[in-house]
Amino acid sequence: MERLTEIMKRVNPDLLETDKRIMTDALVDSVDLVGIVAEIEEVFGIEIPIEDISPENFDSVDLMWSMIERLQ
Amino acid sequence: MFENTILRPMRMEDQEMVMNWRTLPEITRYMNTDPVSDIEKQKAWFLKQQSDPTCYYWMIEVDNQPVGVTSITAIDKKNGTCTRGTYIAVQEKRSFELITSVYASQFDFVFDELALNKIEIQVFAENKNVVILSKKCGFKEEGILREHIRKAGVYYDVVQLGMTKADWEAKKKSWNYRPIEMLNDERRRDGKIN
Repeated sequence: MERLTEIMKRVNPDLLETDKRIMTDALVDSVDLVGIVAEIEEVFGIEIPIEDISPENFDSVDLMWSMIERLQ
Repeated sequence: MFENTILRPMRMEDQEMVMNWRTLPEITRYMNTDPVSDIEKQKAWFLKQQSDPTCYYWMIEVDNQPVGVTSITAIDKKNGTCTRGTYIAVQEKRSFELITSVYASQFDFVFDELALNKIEIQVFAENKNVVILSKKCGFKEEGILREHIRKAGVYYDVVQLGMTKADWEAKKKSWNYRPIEMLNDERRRDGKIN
């Protein structure tokens, strides 16, 4: 979880503090979201297929972490 | 279906908006050319493309408001190829879901309606996230065109990517995207341009 938090701090620290939903409430645009996906893939050695880039997996840091654990 | 969103043919009355969008720094940054603000040239370009059977231009509309442009160009029926492009000019609408739904709807149009066999695109190598996004959507990297584009005296490497009909059919099996309704030019539907 710490490594994911570091990624999010690099991309946009505000995303760690917000109560809003990251994808659903459009806190990041498509290009920045792909940047997050690419960093997660590199740091955790996983591949995130496009069908997993969804609000169910990216609306919060906790949801991202659950997805990472599932894909590892 | 992607709700409240359509792709509709570009019209003459869109041209001032399109010209203003195309000259935004964040839009022109990764374009091959540097457009200038000249409404007469913009209108002349639109008239020319309207009678050009090798291209389609749509406005992306969300809640009846235009937010961007998407296109299919360089249609080559002999070889079954085309290229494509999309930009969303309204920043708050640049969501992953909208852009990927535009892509997927267009891929269906290219392979099912136009019956072409391959989409080819070129992306600035430094635009890494768009290269990654394209691959996530089904494109495969085919090579690097070194120092391929010169802008303001600087040469840029370009990534060549391609997606065949077979690539798309394989991708569609696992990707449950939401298609966007596409309205097409009546003249094309009537066979006046083909």
